[in-house]
Amino acid sequence: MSVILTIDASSSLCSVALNINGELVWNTEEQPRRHAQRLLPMIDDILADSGISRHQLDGLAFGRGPGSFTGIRIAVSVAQGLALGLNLPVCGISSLEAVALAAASNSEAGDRVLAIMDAHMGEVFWGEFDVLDGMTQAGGVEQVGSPELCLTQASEFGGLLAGDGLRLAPFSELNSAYATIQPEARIMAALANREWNNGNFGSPDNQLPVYLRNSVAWKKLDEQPSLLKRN
Amino acid sequence: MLVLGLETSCDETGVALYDTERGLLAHRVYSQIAVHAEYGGVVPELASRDHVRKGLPLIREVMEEAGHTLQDLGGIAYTSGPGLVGALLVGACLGRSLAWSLGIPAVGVHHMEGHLLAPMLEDDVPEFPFIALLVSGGHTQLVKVEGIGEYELLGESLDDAAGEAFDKAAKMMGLPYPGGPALSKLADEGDAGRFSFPRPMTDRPGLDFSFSGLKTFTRTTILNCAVDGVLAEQDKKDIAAGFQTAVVDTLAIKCKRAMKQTGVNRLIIAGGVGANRMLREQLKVTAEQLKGRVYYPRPALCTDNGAMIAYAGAQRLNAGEVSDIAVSCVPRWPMTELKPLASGN
Repeated sequence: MSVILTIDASSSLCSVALNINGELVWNTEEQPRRHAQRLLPMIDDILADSGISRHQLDGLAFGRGPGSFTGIRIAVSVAQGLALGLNLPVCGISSLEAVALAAASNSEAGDRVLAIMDAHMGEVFWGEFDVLDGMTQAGGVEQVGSPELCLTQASEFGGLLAGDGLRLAPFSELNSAYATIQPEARIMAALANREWNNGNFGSPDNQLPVYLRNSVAWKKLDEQPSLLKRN
Repeated sequence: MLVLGLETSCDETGVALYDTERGLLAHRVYSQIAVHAEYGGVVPELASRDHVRKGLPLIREVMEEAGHTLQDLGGIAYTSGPGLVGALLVGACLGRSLAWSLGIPAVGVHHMEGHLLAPMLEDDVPEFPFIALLVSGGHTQLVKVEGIGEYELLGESLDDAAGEAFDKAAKMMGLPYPGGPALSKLADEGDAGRFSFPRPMTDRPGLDFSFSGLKTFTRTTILNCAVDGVLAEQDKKDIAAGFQTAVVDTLAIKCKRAMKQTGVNRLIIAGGVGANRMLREQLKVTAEQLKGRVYYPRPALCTDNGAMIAYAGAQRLNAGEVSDIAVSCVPRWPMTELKPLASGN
């Protein structure tokens, strides 16, 4: 039996969930650009409302991305602070898998889901997941790229597509009901439970966000104009 | 009170432990120079990412060095502005959530107030009131300090900050990042009198600064001296010396003017450029001319660090100030908006 707190700030949603020995309470708010302001108060509230002291927590899970770079850094920083102060083990949860799992609960999902999230700058994040007995399992590496590239993979995929990346052309033509799915702590809590049972919670020092996009729109020195000849 | 200070406003992760009874117990700074060098400047997204990697290990190191556990802490201070918002949020969220988990108060600190109070961490502490010259890559300000939180802005740069001008001039000369210190080193071997660099805005009243004209003069001088896009070593040294002397002279003239105008003869220097040896020497002379004194922190506490945040935060926490668990950072935050300490102590 265990008490596990899950937090997520990887999309415009800010969400927390508390799994108290299998019983789940949660709160999700639409809070674009206000995650830092809302996350700790929401944690404070959900514990108080559940009558759980922070010292009763056994583990801490957080949405590790991909998603909003600032959002996932807020989540990992809050998770690190709490884990350090309370001496808790931590686990990062994929936001794409949370989207896939949310979609998988629908009977149309079949046995595979391709989660696609809006990555902004005209790109999407995506990842394939297999569904078995209502639980997801990663079916490939998570990627970032153009919607067209993602579509090429999606057309060979044959499973259900889900996530707000579907709002982007060319996916937007599908007009999918699954385009409204965003990552949320209440979904991640189930994934956190699986990781907990598999012994995958660990030191907060080793927890890093998963950005997927690792290039920056910034010119290196040798691409910048120079007054003098370069050595 | 034992206070943990976290600084993540730009490209240095600073963590320190300050005790209101025993002083500074430990401090660590991790510089991201290597991360940004190939871009020739700070890339905000990369800065934010690096802070996430360094915060926790540095906190553990500092606690261990001081022989304390987190349970000994009485409060946590973190930089909440001004600075790069993504970078600020990392330290603020880490610090605020750590304080919440320990059940202790936390306070968001103004980065420049931290710099301004850094001389208080040394043995020889200036008395209020004093004039503060804040010089860094982001700021050039002259401030009259009546007490903690009682700041009157006397003058500031209308364009580039002094440190920014140093870095840009160095970049034009093809010096490796970060250019400011590299330029100063070259200047030691140069002839400052060879080129007549201007002393911007010193020929008129007022305490404001402007350094963009110096940048233009540097550019023109480089182009005049360069042969086939190559600058001879001695030319580089002489340009560096002329440039540095012009900046230092300009800062010294305005400091002298500020001291005369206010009748305050104690001057403190803070901020990254405050580590510049020539500036320190010249301002010492300037202050002595006015029968006053100059105070500066050791070079390691001039550049961004957690110790100054721990110190400033300790003063605010001691006066009962706390920041809410709704974390907010202020990327642009005039220092004059700060409030005096709630109660003296």
